[in-house]
Parts: sequence; structure tokens; C-alpha cells
Amino acid sequence: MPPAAAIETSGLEKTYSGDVRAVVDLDLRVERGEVFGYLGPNGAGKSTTIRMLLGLIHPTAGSARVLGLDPQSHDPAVRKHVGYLPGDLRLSDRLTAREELESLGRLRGSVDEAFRDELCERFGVVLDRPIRHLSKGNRQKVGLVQAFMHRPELVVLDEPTGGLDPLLQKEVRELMRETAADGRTVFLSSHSLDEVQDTADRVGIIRSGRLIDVDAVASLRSRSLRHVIVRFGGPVDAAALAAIEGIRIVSSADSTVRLSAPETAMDALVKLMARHHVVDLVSEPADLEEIFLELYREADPAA
Amino acid sequence: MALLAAIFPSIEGSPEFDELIDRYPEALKNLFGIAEGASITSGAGFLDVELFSLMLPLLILVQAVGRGARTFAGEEDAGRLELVLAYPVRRRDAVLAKGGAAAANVIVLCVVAGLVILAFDPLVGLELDYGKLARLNLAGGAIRNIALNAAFLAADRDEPVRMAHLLQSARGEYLKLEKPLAEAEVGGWV
Repeated sequence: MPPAAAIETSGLEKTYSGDVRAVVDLDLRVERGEVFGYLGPNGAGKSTTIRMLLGLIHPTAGSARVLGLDPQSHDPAVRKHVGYLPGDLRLSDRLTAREELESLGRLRGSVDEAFRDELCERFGVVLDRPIRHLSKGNRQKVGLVQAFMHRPELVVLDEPTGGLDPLLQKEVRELMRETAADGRTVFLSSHSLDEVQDTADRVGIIRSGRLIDVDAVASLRSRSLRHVIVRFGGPVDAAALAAIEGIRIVSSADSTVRLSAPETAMDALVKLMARHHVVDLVSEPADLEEIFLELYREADPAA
Repeated sequence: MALLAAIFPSIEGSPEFDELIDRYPEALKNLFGIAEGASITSGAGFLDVELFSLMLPLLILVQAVGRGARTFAGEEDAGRLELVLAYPVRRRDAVLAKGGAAAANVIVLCVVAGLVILAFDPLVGLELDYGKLARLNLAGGAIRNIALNAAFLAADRDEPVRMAHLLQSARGEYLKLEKPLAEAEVGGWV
């Protein structure tokens, strides 16, 4: 019999105080050995889903299986092979990172100390100062180590790269890919597609408690939008730019053009812009909400 | 504890303070554990009243309640509990571990309090039977003299202040006051 999926939910629901539906009818499947990005705007239900998967809160309806086991079970064995980094990480402030990691290691029973130390060095964990004196980023590093140090079958990360500088974010992404390459699974939540698209194999998008799309990252790339602001050397007719497939002109005044462009339109856009004298060019990712609106404008009756 | 020990010299032997205490309403006196005739200005009396009757239980209570409340309600601990509950531990064990830590803290406090009292013992002579000492019917100044002389006597012999020193010192003081020292007052001291 093949090993169970890393995560499998069926009709999972969480409703608060009668009418706040945090998670609605969630059918999710995460395979072993993949990095799965759980994407959604703030308040979409990502953390609530994660808490149910870890048995921290009870679902109102439906069921979930993590590594084939029921997370609501009282049996501690269910959590043996899972690593977790909470979105709101709290550690024992009075201890040093070294002491805290040792304490948490004891809680696990046994931990490969060499691997733990290797992780500490890789992330540059400040080991010997009390945690309450550490910056948010340094605390996050401790959180990351405790989530990975026991080489769990499934690592659940709730917005893991918050507070980290880009170099460190890169280290974390690499660690996630290594974990997947090792046949183990990473489930991470994020509100940024950009953050996730370099690491994840598949992405599930949740909005207002509902899973509205699950897709391979490659196909999502084609949909991810950029806001582009170009300042030309002189007045330019924006019509030529608008003609490119997928491009939507937001505004065009004198020599400055604002537009939104999907990744697929980038090459054509740049080549067209290059024909003129370009003074300045700014390109930034559109936020997820806008992408959703763009994606589901026709499909979503509520839009 | 050190604070109380520091306050004591200012209260020591003050007859005005004794009068103040006398005026306290009965209920309050009972609360403070001020026994009939006991004086707040004698060493043992002071410690009995302040430390044992009010401050120490209060201190322990505050510690226990504070620690207990912080076990779950405190930000730091509640947040970290979420992390711990995702570990392969039984919910009950995670909770007990925190409760155990809280209890341990309270026990440590009691032990420390006990040790400090023992440390101060040579200073204020707590092996003394304050109940018996309280039977002395004296003004604050006289009490101070007795205490002081007893301390000198003890120091002379390189010993902590004991009932024997106090007895000898009391006898001396009563002689000065030209008062007889009744058996009822010092019976059973030594």
C-alpha cells in the first residue's frame, strides 16, 4: 500500500460564533515530496487551516489526515513527524536560543544535534543571548531551526519569511527545496505569490475561507501581474503598448505610462519600449487580490 | 525581606508605635496576628506581625497567582504553548509541565524565604520563642535595651542570641527599673 498523502482534507470547515466562516468546505491534497504553497490574502483562512491540520483547534465539520493520521487524535505520535513554525512565533524569552533549542529538543525525545547545529550555523542563529533581546528576524531563525531540526516528514510553515532579509529568505527557500528533494514535504502559507513561486511545485489559493484554485506554479506564472511605470524621453503613443496581448493601460500622461502586464507579455513589452528613449522603468508585482480579480472576473459572480 | 529588616530599626523600641498599634481596631490586629500583649516593636514581634502574618503569605500568594495566571494567560507563555502543543506531547503533559514550573517557583520562594529568615536569625534571634517573649510587660525602650544587651551578651560569647541571653538581659533591665521579674513572665524561657 502506497504511503498516505502528506495532507488530505475532506469538507474541512471552521465556523466561529455561529456566522464567521473561517474555512469553508476545504478539499485539499498535498503529495509527499512536494513543496506546496498555500496562498491567500490576510484573513483568508490560512492560519486557521494550519491550526486544524496540527490539531490545535477542532474543525466544525469535515475531516483531515496528516501523514495518514487524524490530527485531532490525542495520541502524541501523530505529531512526531511534523515540524511547525507558527505565524505568531513565541519562544521562552528568558532563555537563550541555545537553551530553548535544547529544551525543545528534549520535548521531542531526541534530536540529531549535529544537524541542529548545522542549521544554526547556516542561518546564523544568535545562540547565547536571551531571546527577548533578539530582533524579530533572529527569533524567526530560531523558529525555523526548531521546525526542521528533527528532519520531519512534513514541515508546516505559516508565513516563514516575514522579518527575514532577502539573503536569508534565499537560504530558507533552498532548505525547503532540499527537504522536498529528500522525499519529505513542505507546506507553507504566504500572501505573496512572488515569495512562493520560486520554491513551490504547486500552489493552492484560498480566499474568504474557500479554496478557489490549485495549480502548478508554472501556469500561475503566466497569470501573475506586474505594475509597470515607464517614463519615456518624450511623448509616446500608448496605443502600441496596449496592443500587446494581456497588457492593460492604467493611465497615460505626457511621457509617463502606467500599465499592468502579465509575465507572458514582458518580452514583447520590453522590446517595444526599447524603441524609444526610456528615462525610468519601475516594475512591481501586483498584489494577490488584484490577480484574483483579474483571474476570476468572469467566473466569480461576486466580483 | 531585606526591606522589612531595614524598616525595623526605625520602628524598634518606639513607644509611640506601640500606642498606635494599641489603637488599631480589633479585627485589624487579628489580621496582623498581633497577639494580646505582643509588641510590634520587638524583634520577634515585628517579624511575626509583618512577615509571617501578612507579608510572607501575601508574597507567596502573589507569586502563586501570578505564576499560575501566566501559565496560560500571559502572552509569552500562551504563545509558546501553541508551539509546544504541536509537539509530540500529551496536552495534559504540556499543561502540567507549565503548572509544575509554577509550583516549583512557589516552592523555591518558600525555601528562599526560609533560608533568609535563618540567615537573619543571628540578627533577630528567631529561634526565640516570641510567644513567651511577648509576655513581658514593658515599654518599647526597655524592650530595646533588653534586646541590645542580649545581643552584646551573645556576641561576647560568640553565639547567636538565645533565650538564655534574653533572660539574663531581662533580669538586668528589670533591676534597673526596680521591678520584680515574675515567674509568670519568664517561666519556661530556658
